[in-house]
Amino acid sequence: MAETKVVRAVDGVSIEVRRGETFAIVGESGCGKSTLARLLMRLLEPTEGAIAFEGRDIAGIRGRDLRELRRDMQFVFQDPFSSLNPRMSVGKLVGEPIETHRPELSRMQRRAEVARLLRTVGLRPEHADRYPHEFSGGQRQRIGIARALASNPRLVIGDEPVSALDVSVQAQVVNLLHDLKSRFDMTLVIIAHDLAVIRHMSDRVAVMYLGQVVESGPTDEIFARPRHPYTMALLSAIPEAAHGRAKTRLALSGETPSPANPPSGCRFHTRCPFAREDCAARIPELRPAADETRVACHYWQEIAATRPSAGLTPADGRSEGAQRRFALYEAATQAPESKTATNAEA
Amino acid sequence: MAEPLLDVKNLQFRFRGQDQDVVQDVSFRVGRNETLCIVGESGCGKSVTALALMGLLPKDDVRFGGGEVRFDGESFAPSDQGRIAQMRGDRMAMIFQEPMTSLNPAFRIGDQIAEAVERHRQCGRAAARARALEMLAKVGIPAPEQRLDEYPHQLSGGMRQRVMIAMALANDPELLIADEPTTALDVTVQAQILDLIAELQAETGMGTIMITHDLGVVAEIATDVAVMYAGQVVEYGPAEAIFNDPQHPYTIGLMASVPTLTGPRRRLSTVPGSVPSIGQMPEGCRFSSRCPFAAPVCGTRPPLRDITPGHRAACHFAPLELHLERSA
Repeated sequence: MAETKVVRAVDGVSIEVRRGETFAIVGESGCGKSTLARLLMRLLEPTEGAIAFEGRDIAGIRGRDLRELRRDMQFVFQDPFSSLNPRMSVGKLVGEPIETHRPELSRMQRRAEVARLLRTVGLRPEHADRYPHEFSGGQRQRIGIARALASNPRLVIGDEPVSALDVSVQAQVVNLLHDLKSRFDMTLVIIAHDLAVIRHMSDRVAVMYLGQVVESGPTDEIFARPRHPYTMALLSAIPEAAHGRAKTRLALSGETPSPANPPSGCRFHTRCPFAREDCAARIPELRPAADETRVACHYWQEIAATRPSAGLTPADGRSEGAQRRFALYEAATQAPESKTATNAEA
Repeated sequence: MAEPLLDVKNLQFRFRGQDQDVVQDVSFRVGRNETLCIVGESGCGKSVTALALMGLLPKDDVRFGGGEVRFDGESFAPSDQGRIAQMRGDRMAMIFQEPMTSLNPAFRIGDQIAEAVERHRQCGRAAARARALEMLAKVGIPAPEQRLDEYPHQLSGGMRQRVMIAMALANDPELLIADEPTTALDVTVQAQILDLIAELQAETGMGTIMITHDLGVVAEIATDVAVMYAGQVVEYGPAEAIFNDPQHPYTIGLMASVPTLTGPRRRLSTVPGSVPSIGQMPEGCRFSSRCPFAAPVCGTRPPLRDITPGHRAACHFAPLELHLERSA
């Protein structure tokens, strides 16, 4: 009889999210980042290991404890088109979590609360009577955020919260999340594949490959001095929106192997340009490297010595001329008479 | 100046039942060995422009409002989609964003590539199959003999996009139109595909039109850039000029709203609001409803005019410094 295949989508991951920070989990398709997010949220239960939230293990809780957890921890989904019930008005959509988590509120209080939440995310109270299809992608994502905020969560987990949006709208939602985080003293966990968004939003980051964390640490440090070859390759693969900045690309051959049948030893060794013979045999542990970072690579020190400039150059690659125009644009959008001072997304 | 490979002049059309053009006065040119990037966000008309150039628009549903498409010196009326379509798959080819939906799941990939070759080259089955094998090897598919007889679902996303490229280039087209070919792919695979397209272009000298929303991809591969907003080209010019001297407020806003990988982390600029639906387009400059510099004059449509030779912008206020000083 054939053996049942087990896919370890997340395998031996340890991360620590500090109160008040934005923690990012980054990786390409199939690295297990979304599964990890669902584990944190307790939408999935881990087969092994523990997840502690504010000191308490949440891995096996159920009933009232789980309901309370759902109040303190909320989720923002990637696709604003499929995560909102099209048959519910915005007022109902945002009112529902209020009803669940704060049943003591009267109907009038709830309606006032919906209005307050809509204003908080940059929508108007009268939007409560409309339905999801009447809104643009960015506005729908705002509705999703209002829903997440309804229970006054202390932790919000966003799984690719801006990747379905156009760039100009993406910036609106990135700024909104940033503002809400500081205004409500929240902790944010962002799962994303876009490294520029990650760099912009997060304080610390964990890089995942095939179900494991290969490198973690302060975002600025990881981007300036990536130590794991996969992080180097990932950073060097991103085309940058500035002209004439040729990068030395650390090209990876092939594609991510199937998580159902991961390579032996270091899971990255089949694609690693620095792989040596014993990488196929020995599993590297995630160990403290330097400057609060942790790296899972046997040879990171030697690799770093041969590639002193693996990180990104510190200066903004965009020309002075362009930056001057950006400043003019920014000043104009901030101007009081400008229609952008209030939310113009109608 | 030598005649470019493709010269599109004042392309204009609308869909049946609409009272506004979805593509309005769009002009650009592409030479051999050049890469024009058409950049813009959802609904800007970049993909339907590509479809029109390929003769893929359903003629009963589209009303063309004039313009001209010149391909290698030959003139076509955009409304003559049938005549344009005759060059498709042969002299010009297209690759799409989602390779899974552009490949037929019921046929072996070798047969799909061979079909395109047989149709245009009037060669035998064996020769077409040999060409398919040659192309699969060329686009870097490992074990091509074996892959030839596989079905699309047996390949990964990156491999499918390589198959699409093999199929598109099998007849040595002079023009390749790529519509967001790497958007569905992971960054490390995207890098491989962009490198592959660049290699093949260097080898064949084809002209390329790349349609994308990703300014990073544009910076990497473009020789020229057309920025589209709501069916209009708002800025057009050499890539260097667009990135180092952006003129149109939309181009500027778009660039300033992209988070950067380098430099200090600042609050992102935004383009307020979202693109109006086609029935609610403002008169004149279509960007005026979202533009922080908008003034009454924007009710008349600004012409796409030269700011410096070859670098054009459609804004009454370009260059911004000059006009802001004047009004201050």
